[in-house]
Amino acid sequence: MIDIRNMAELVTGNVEKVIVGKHQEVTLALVSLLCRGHALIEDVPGVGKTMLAKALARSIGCTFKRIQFTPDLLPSDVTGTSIFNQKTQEFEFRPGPVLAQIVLADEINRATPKTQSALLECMEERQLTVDGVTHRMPNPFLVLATQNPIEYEGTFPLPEAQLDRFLMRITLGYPGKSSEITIMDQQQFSHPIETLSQVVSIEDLLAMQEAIKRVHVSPPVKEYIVTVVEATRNHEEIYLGASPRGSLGLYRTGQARAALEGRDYVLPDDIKALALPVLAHRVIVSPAARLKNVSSRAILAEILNQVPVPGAETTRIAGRSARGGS
Amino acid sequence: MLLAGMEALWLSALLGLVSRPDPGLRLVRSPWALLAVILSAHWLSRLVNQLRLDLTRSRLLILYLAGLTVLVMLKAGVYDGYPWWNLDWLGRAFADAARPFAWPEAYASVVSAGLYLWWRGLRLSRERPSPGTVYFRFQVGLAALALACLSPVFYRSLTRPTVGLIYGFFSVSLLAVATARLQAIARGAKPFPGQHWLGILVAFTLLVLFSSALLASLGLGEAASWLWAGLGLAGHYLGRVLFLLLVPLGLLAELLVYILRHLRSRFMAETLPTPPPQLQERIQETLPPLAENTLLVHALSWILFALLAALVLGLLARSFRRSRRRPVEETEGIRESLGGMSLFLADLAAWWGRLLGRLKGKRCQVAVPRALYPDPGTAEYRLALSVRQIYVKLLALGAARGHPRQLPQTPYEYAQTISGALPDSSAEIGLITEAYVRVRYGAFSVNDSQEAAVRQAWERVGHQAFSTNKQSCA
Repeated sequence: MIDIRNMAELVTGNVEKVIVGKHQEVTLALVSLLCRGHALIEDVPGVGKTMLAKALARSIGCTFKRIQFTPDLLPSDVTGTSIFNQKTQEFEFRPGPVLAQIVLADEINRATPKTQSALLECMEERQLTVDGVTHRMPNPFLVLATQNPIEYEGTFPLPEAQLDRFLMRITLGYPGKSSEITIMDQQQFSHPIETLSQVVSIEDLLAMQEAIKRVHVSPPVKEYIVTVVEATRNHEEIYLGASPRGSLGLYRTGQARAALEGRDYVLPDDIKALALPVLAHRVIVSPAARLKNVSSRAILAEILNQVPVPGAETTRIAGRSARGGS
Repeated sequence: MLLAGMEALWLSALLGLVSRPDPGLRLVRSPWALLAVILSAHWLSRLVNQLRLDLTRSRLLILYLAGLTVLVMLKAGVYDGYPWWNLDWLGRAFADAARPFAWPEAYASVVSAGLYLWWRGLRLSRERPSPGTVYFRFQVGLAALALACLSPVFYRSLTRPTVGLIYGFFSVSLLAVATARLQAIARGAKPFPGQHWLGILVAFTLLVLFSSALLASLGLGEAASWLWAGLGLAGHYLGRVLFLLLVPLGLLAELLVYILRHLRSRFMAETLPTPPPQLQERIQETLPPLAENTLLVHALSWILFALLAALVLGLLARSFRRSRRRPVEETEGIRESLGGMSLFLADLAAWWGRLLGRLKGKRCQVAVPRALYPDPGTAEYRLALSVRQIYVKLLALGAARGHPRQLPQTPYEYAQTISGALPDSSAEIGLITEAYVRVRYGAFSVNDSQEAAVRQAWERVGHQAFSTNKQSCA
């Protein structure tokens, strides 16, 4: 576990040379990578979404491809296509950009649903079938998709069923004042991404991905996960709650976060910290609540403030006995 | 065995009280009966220890036991004139309880003993069998002795076997306390007091044992009379002090009863029968005809006993059924019991297997699946439980300081809250919380030195909280 923590600190430290003042978000992206999941970065242009993906790819020595999603993008532009070679008189497969280890799907909601689903199929199945030939996706494989939360004209919003396939949704947000000054200073002569070096090998990353599976999750924490997810299904302001995939996502990300903090067991604190990025995009807020401008994040925060954490019953009894004079 | 001996003597004393009007140990007058009581007490203590009841059930059990003890003492000591089957004595006891001036010493002593048992029972219910359990039994014996001294009714009814029992109880319990203390020192839970103090402890124990045996063998004639006279005088004044302390409670109860009686006489005077005669008159009326027909008395007593036993069994069965109805996974984590349903069932199965094995003539090795917890006998389990108990004490301290842990708070969040209330102890609170989460969520990974460090941290927190209290009082 100490190795995971050290290696993770190396990676996050390296990425933070480029993405300044966003430790939490960088850690979440790394958690997503360690869990073999994919992340949806939802934010306005220019806050460093592409840089985050590039820096992450460079830090672990992975191949990186960027796909700019537009309305006229075709599925074959993403997956690749077979071209007839006149010399060999055979069809040859020309892999698309999705066959990279880290893929940045920029503004994913601008492409048509057909193209979106081509990418999402690769994400879920980790394989690609073109002309009857199946190609395995590289390992590790991480898709960082971005979408702009304010410009919806001419876009095709991702359906909830497809949103559910993203392990977490990350919001970068604007940097703080001091961080923005640091960014300007850093880029006075050259961009720091150009000098970024690899700090962890791919083999190490794969070993870390295997190691986090052995992080202990105690029964009370499992129950806490399920209780939180169930609460999203029974909340009156939520039209559709989180799926079992959400529970599984919390479970896996909890393991990864615990390992990144040097623990070999998951705490309720991990679940609390990850519930918003993992669950917020998986629930649909009811129309009535939407009219009141209630967001899924606010509802989830309310749920987390209500669901009892394992261990609270003891408090009640201990409190009574304390009042009784012991 | 020491614990079993203490249980046996305590049960014998209760049985002796119950068996009156014949004084002394009528029910255990034969060696075989005494052996049966000892074995029953041994099995009872083992069963209670093995059940590892969770907090709620332990609290209820202690409440039942304390209530039962107080009722038995009341019946045998104060309302001895009534037959057991005639529950008028219970109504009379409630009526008298509302009039503290009628039985000041008995009222004060019974109420204080009940409160004391309830209070100690609460603390005991959070502990595994430990030196604390032994001390509890010792203190129960002490409370029984104080009760005997305080109540003139008890004083009059004390007989030689009863006094011998109390001496025997003290001899065995003192030996048990000394042994428990030595075990705690050997285990490292208590600091080594030094050769000098250890010698004094052993010498004092031997001295009391020897004098107790001597007194018991001398027949407790003059020596016991002098002792009781002195204790009786002290007890008299102590009883008065306790009575004065409890007077407001009694006055309040008397006021309530007065209001109820007034209301009853105002609205229900015509429908009610005539009020019952005074206590002595009722005894005179009740006893002679019943004494003639002892068969009827015995039959009614057994019927009453059977009804009570059925009621207790019914309550137990209902609680067991309720606990089975709830799935383990729904309750295990939230309830945060120190045992849990799965553990309870596993232990029940193990106990049953061992019992069957003994009946078959060989010891049966029952493999109990321990998915959640390791074997209770292991050092790992003991250390983990100790850390959790210390954390529960920390919660109690926080609650007493006005910062009870909220349901959705995680241990680390609560540590921040309570560190605000006890800023000098924030490091210790952090250490205890760290160990607790490791034990609670990290599969019992705590070793001897870490447990000792947690214990010391808790002692420091206690000292600092106490000193803060003193400063704020000053």
